[in-house]
Amino acid sequence: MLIICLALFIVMLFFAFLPGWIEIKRKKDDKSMHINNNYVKDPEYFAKSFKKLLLKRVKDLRAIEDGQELELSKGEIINCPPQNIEPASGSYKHITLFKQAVSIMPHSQFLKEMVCLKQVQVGQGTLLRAGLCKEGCYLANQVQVIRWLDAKKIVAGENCDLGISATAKEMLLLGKGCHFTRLYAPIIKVGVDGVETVQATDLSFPKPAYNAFWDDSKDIEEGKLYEVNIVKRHGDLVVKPGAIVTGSIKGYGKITIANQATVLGNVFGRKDVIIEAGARVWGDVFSNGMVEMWPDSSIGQIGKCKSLVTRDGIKLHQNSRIYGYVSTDGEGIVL
Amino acid sequence: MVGIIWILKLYFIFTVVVMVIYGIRHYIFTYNRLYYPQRKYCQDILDTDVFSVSVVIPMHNEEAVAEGVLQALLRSDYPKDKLEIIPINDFSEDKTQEILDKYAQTDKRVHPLHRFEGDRGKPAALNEAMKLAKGEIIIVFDADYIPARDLVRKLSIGFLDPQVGAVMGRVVPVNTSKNILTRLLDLERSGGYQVDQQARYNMDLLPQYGGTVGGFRKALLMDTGSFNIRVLAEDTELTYRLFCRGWKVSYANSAECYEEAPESWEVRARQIQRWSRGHNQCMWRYFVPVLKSTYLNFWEKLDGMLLLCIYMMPVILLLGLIDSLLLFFMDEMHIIAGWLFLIFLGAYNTFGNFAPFFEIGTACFLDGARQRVFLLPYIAFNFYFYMWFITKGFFQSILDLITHRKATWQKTARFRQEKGGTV
Repeated sequence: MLIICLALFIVMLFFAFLPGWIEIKRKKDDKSMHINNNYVKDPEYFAKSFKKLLLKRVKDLRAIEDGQELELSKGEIINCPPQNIEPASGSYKHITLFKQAVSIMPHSQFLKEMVCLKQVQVGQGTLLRAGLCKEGCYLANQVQVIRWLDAKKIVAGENCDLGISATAKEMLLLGKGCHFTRLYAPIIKVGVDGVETVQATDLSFPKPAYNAFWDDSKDIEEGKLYEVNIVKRHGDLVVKPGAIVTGSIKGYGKITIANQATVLGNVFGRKDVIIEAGARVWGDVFSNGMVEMWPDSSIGQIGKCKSLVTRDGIKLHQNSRIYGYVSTDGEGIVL
Repeated sequence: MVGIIWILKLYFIFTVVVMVIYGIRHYIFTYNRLYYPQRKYCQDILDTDVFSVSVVIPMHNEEAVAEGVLQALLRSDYPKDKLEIIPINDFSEDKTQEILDKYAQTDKRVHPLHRFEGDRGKPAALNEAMKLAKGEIIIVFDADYIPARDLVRKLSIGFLDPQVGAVMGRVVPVNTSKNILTRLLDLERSGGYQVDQQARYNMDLLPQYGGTVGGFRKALLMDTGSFNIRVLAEDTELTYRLFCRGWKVSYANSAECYEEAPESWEVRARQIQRWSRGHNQCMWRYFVPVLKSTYLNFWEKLDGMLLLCIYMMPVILLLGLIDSLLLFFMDEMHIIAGWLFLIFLGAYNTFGNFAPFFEIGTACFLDGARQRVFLLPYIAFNFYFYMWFITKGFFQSILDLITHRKATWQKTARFRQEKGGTV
């Protein structure tokens, strides 16, 4: 009996180690976890890599002929619609290259990338897998981009979906109801095009010392100047109207930058961040909650790239502006 | 005799309670990692205003790996005018000096520091390098590391948060496939970073600065007294110094970097013994300050204490095992009688012992590694192996405490054959 028990014990013990032993022998999963040592963050990655892929095959995109097949990641046919005929509304199954300025008819469908060497106006309700435009790209209402869009200037009408990434060399204008995930442009603005008022030279204060902190048990008063960093460990933080904070802000509760208040540094929130009407943040805004930008509020400054990055979503109101990069793991929407 | 038996029984209960507490801790971290919203690190931020950064690499006889780390760093996408690389030749007797000088001649960003006098060891070397460093942020890599192009940016961006005093990235063994030891170390690293560190970061507890693939604010370190050359675990010491003063350590799970894991049991034994000794030195030093700190809340203090005592656990368990054997042979094992005992024993065997395995298994799942998880039972061998050397390190730390002797830094042996940095 004892021998049987011992034998059973050894067998059961061995069973625990058997799968591991097989893995040691077969070495099916013995490689180091992959790290891409060449990765460099580039917001224009999609457009650049697609362009690179094209230019690897043809030196000049204008030389591509209608129906020409190019070996990209796989064999792809390039359609070049005639320049003198307005493209009809319909489904474009291949990569489409427009060499002249073009107006896409409403409710067209581009199941592959669209490339425009001149200005393009995309009709209402058009579905666009991805688009690369050398000049301006004007999206009518309800245009849906599935993956990415890159242009010199992007103007999106109402209720457009800008897909995974929309990038512009000069400006990105968003209409009401637009949805987005990542945006990148020197000026990202909600509403109408206009003269930029946020100048980097408006305010000039020295950066506070790294260890100059505000006593977080005290409130931030209206219209006053605070030449410190602020860390609010408990509860919500409100930077009262008109107050100026020259340092950065960190808060574990909700952060509100009230009307006309200014933060020259960065804003880091564990929860939601509200930037009220006319409030300005000159640095980056990062939140593990949601960020809402009220009308006429702004993040960043002309000539620099600053970021608005959130986990749970972004809500932008009319005439709110970001100078640089916007990214959210949640949903971005223009109200 | 009765008194001794009572002490033995009380110690046995104490051991069980401690094991249960750490088991629960493992489960909380694992569940947090699996089922709760993950706290985002700020690596997605793009900012044209970047910190000036000094990358410091302590080296002692590192001719086999020196070129690899320098080549990798020189490929960094960080703005050239904001990056300075300070490899520290710390009493090397091989060709490390020649290699560093060669790179200094070819790239202005490389400013080697040659040390042949003064105190030896990493803390002393870092202190001297910081006197030279011009960067606002110091980032430290060990010589066997191969940083990715965007790693300096990823780590330094964390300091935009005004409360962050140090940032820690994730370490990944480059030589996983070498042998059974490296494969097990790979599992341990996965559990430690992918689950343990990230969960502590999620829960606003105490993620640990690990001394490499991480950085800190230079001014903050200088203002708080540089590194203590008597402490072997300068990274743990810095972690607690920062938290006790109201600063935070940020964990960047996506800031990954390859390292070379020890390939022989002998080298691993020395490494783990050194870690134990250094960590326990910090435990003696920070036990009371953590409890007293006005900056830490109850949960931070609890996590801080559990983390501080982590290298005391194997000692407690070893003594617990001896204790249970003594009680068994003295026929005094009936501490908790009846069904209650059986229920407890069953529950602990099912869940308690399994907790660290669950954590590592979860890490494998999150990393998308499907087969290596079968090696988990073999971690038990490591546990007993570590138990002995961690216990040795623990008692050395007690001697350090009593005698105030200076600990001698022992470098971990390198195994890489080629001199390049590609993987």
